[in-house]
Amino acid sequence: MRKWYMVAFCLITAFGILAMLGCEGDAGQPGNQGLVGPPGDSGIDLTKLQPADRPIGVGLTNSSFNGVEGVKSLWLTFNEAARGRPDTLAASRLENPPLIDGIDGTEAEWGEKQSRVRLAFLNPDPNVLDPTIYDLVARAGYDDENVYFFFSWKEINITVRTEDGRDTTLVDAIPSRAVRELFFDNTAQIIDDIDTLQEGGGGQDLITDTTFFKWVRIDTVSADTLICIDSIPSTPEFDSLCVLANVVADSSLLWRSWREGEDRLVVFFNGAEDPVANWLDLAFAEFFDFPGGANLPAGYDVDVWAWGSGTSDPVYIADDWHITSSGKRPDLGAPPYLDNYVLPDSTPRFMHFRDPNYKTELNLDTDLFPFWYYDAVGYSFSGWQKNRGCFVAGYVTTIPSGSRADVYAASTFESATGWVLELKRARRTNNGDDVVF
Amino acid sequence: MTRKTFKYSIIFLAALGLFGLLILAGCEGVSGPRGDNGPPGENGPDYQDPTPENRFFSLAVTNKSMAEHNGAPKLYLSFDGEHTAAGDTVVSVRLEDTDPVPAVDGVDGGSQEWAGPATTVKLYKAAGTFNFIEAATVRSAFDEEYVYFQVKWTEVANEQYGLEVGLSDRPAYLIYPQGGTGNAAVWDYEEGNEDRVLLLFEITPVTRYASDGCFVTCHTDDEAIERNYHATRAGGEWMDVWMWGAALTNPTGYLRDQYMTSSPSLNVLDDNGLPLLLSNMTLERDNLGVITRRQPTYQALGDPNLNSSYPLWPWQIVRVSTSGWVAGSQVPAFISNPNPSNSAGDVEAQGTFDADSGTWTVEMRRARRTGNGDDVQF
Repeated sequence: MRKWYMVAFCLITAFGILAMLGCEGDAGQPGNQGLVGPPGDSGIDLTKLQPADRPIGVGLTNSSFNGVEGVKSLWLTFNEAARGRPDTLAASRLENPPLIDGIDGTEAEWGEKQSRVRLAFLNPDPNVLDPTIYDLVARAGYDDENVYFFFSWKEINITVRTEDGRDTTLVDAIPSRAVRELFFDNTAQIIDDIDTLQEGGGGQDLITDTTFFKWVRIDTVSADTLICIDSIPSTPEFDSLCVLANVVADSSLLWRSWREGEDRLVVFFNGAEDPVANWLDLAFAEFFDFPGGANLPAGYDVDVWAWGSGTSDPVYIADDWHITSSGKRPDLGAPPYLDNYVLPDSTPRFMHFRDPNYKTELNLDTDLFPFWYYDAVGYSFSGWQKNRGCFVAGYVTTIPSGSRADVYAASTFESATGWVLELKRARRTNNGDDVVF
Repeated sequence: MTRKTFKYSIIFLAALGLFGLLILAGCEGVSGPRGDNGPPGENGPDYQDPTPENRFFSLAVTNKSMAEHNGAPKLYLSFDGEHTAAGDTVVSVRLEDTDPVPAVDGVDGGSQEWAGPATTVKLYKAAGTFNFIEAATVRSAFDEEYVYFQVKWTEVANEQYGLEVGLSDRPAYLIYPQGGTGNAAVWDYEEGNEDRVLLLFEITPVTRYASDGCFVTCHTDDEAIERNYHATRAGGEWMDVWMWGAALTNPTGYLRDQYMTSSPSLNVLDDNGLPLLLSNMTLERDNLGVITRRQPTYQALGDPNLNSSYPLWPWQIVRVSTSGWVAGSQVPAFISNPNPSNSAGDVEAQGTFDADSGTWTVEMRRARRTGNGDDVQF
């Protein structure tokens, strides 16, 4: 029996040794090649993805060039889940494009999202009037090809009582289109040959640089007249200079800028991926000529859509500009208007075909604007009824083109509801001076 | 079996069992290496703009008189390639990258240019009297950006109805009146007329358009029926109206893009933007509605009495002269604008007239999606 136990023990031991020392089997054969993968997904048009969120700024004026009410911290988001707030303009993806007609199509056209934006007076110059524009409502939308914006806002009348007891209106709650309306100044005269001006009628020349002073306004004209020069920009020390001179006047060339402002809405977009923190401060200051402005750093390009009730509205665009470290410049293309006023000689280049005297103080209701290019004829030096105070449009409306004309706009004004402005632009204009959505 | 044999049998069986256990317990060889990846699948299809939805549209053509036009009030425009160009179905063919792009020049390049067949559609009296144009051929094509149309029709003469085969390109004029002196306050207004073609599309769904076509918006020929023409039937229902005219629009290279709402008082509105046509008429009425002044605002350089004609461009005009006019002198009632903008200028069109056959060929092109609410989107 003991022997059998020994045999079993040996066998088990041998089995254990064999199990421990037994060789591993050979590796198997390589597997078969996998099957052909499924076809890829359909391509997508990268240009039709949701646009990137970005900060924007909005500025508004009423009958003014730089009395700007606005907002510098409005976040434009294309996030579908975002809702409009005072500091957030949430864009809706639109199935059907809105009608760009300046009429509020409400939610039916724009969707539910809207922002009631808080405005602040932005010009640091204490001498500039706050126009107190209010109730700015903004909406935004987009589709595969375009972005759309809606703005509505209201204006107020601001009237002051002057020392003589009369009320003077500073800003009106009306559509102000009269940018640089020129007024025939029948109280002043001008002279030429300013270089003949000499102190006391002889002796040392008072002004040697005649570049700017080909024409100078004076109050009266005759031989040996006391001539008072209102201001001399290049030599401010000669302000209100009076000299006695023997001059010859040409009284046909006396036009002064009568009104400067129009109603405007200006939108700023930054084209940089990582804009400097104060880019909107710099952009506002540059575009509206605020005091103390500084240039943008190199490499930044701010896209500016400047809608003006007089300058761009007649041709259904917002004037497209951009700001770089070199300052503000219009985008490439033909402008929507031509300046009709050149300071050195105070002479309009054009007048309405019904001029001279199409609009005078006797018919102030005559509307000079829009002053279409095909209504413009060369300025006549004669025929003006000087005692009536005549007016000429300070700019001529023309047909814009190119990158300057790629922001479409339409507006309406009602005294009860104020301005309604709608804008539309292609997401990609393929113009280097435009921001891409 | 002896005891010894039995013992060896047991030992043999035990050894055999151990051997079996060894086989069972022995280590298995490792798996072979993973086979090579299969080849990548084929590329997915390139991005392709969605095919436009099939839709109904309307067609009308005139011979001289706008008020008397024949039309097809409801045609079917098929983009999906699943219909045949026949009857009232116009097939719009997708242009592939290798296909030529149809030139919008009013010259029929045939199937080679249009990559697809034409449909000869039957025309019916739509308004006024029958103008005897009973058929037109229509082609359409589209690519990722644009949709293209071509309409051809041949005029028919009818002496009884004053219809002639020929180029009619005399739209509205202001005519200096008989007996006027200097610059008479009220000039005669000649309605005039021209050869025209119109296409109409739904911008938003229009009640009964799918059954009645454009008849639902116009021409019941019954003045007693309220809102009987040029309006849709309910608020928010809009129609896109493309009107090409031999004189009013053809020289500009565009057609007059308009839209119709449910307001009959508004009639048909020009699309937004700088319009294709600028009025050249100063019109004033008294309290009773009587016209007290109707004069041209502008005249052509060199007038009076030059008898200027269409197109009269903005760079050719000066203010109208206050004197020197003689009876019968004419001035166009519209100034042609070569730069319509925004939605007013988004349909390019060009037509040519073959005087020998009396056939008009008008070709049009528009972006599929204009982003304008007053346009149909394809």
